[in-house]
Amino acid sequence: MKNLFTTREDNKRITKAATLTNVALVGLFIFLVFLFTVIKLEYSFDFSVISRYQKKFINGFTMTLAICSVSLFISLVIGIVNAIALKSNIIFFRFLARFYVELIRGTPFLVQILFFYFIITPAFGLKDKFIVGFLILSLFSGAYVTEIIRGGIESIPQSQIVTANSLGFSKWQIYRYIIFPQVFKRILPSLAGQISSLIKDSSLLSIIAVSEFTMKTLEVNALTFQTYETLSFLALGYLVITIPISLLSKWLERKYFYES
Amino acid sequence: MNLNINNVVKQYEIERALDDFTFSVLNVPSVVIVGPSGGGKSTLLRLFAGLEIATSGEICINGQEIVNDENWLKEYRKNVGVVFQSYNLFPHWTAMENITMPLIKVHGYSVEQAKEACLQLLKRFDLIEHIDKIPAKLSGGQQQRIAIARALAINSELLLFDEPTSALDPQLTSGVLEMIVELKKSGTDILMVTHEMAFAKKAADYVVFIDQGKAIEHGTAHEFFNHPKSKVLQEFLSHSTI
Repeated sequence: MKNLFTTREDNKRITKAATLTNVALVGLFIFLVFLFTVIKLEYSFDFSVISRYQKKFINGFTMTLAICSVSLFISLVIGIVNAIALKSNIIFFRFLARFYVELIRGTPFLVQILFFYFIITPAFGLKDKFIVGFLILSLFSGAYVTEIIRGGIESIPQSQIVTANSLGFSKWQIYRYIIFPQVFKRILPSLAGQISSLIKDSSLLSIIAVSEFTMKTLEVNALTFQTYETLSFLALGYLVITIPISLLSKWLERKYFYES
Repeated sequence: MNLNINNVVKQYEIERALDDFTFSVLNVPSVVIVGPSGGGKSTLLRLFAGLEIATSGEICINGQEIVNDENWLKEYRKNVGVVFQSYNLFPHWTAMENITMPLIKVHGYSVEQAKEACLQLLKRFDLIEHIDKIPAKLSGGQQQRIAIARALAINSELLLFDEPTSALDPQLTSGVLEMIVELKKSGTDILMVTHEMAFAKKAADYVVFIDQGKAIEHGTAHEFFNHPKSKVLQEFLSHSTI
């Protein structure tokens, strides 16, 4: 009986029966919380709201995917350029890259969105919300990608660089043929994690009315007041993307852990 | 090979690795550098390899002076083969790629030319069975022999070795040392830093003993090992297994 609920310090394996029991328990726990909120709010469900407004949901979801895809690409470019700048012999580049990373990582994303939206956007005359959205997201994510790539570059032993130098490879060739191919393998798991963050963080763009998934869902909510259905559907929408990525990340981690 | 080193000083931030180092040899096929750890041996080899720049003084190899200029050194490095203590091979490349990539990317060979050169070398040194293996699948000795083949691929007349066997298990060193002896026989000049005294005695034509950044004593292998003059060298040799 005890084996159904606990594992032993020297044997962390979980039996099939224990798995089933505990999954059921977790389900029950969530259901009770759910039931409590429904009773307290005297909520009545109408799931037809999802199908009735499916166009809005689809548009929002597509927009989120589009913004995230573009941002992913741009933040990778920013990350590579910045990671190289951090190692540059030109001090200005080095300081600029460092400053950028510290600034982004040290301030809340929400503050960055507001700053960008109220100061940079009007100053540069940017009108398109889509462009504003992916620019902000790219700049934000780029700082984190920079740190991931920098860590990857630093994990390449110095002896390889010396060897490459002695063979006559140029600095650019060393990055291109020796450092980056190895770095990309090593950072793939963390990069996958970063993609997941990027997708989740994109929901904050709703604050400046970029018509992405969260924004569109809030619109439906404002029209119907079916909060429970719309917000649950919203969360589910994000999970549909992030869970596969999380699994992929874990798989990559194991794969390259055994290879190196 | 001819070596001419005049008053070379190599100053790092706190320590002085080479201190007014002066030494020259004429027409010697192989020179071996020995001495206690931290005495300046590897620094000297790195200066020869063009990987570092002397703080002052001049270095001439075969009549060519090493110029204190990064662009010049880049060109120079392309034509000097160096084999380090360990981790010579790039882990993401197969044995063949480790040999062909420098030929293709640095020396402008076509892919076919590079493959052909690689095949010849691997056949010559009996390494052909390892051609498609990545370094992780090779023993330390096999890795070093492939690294030597790579250093040879650029047809340099001079090969530099920085303790090529000191990171290997004893039973793996002989294969590497045999390969170096064979190279010497085939006419490649060799400059090597080593702890392998027995090997130095067998393969070196000329031996230099370095301690505290200076060339304490040097001479032909015969006089060096049989009639050491300075006290430090006598002491050093008495502690080494020959």
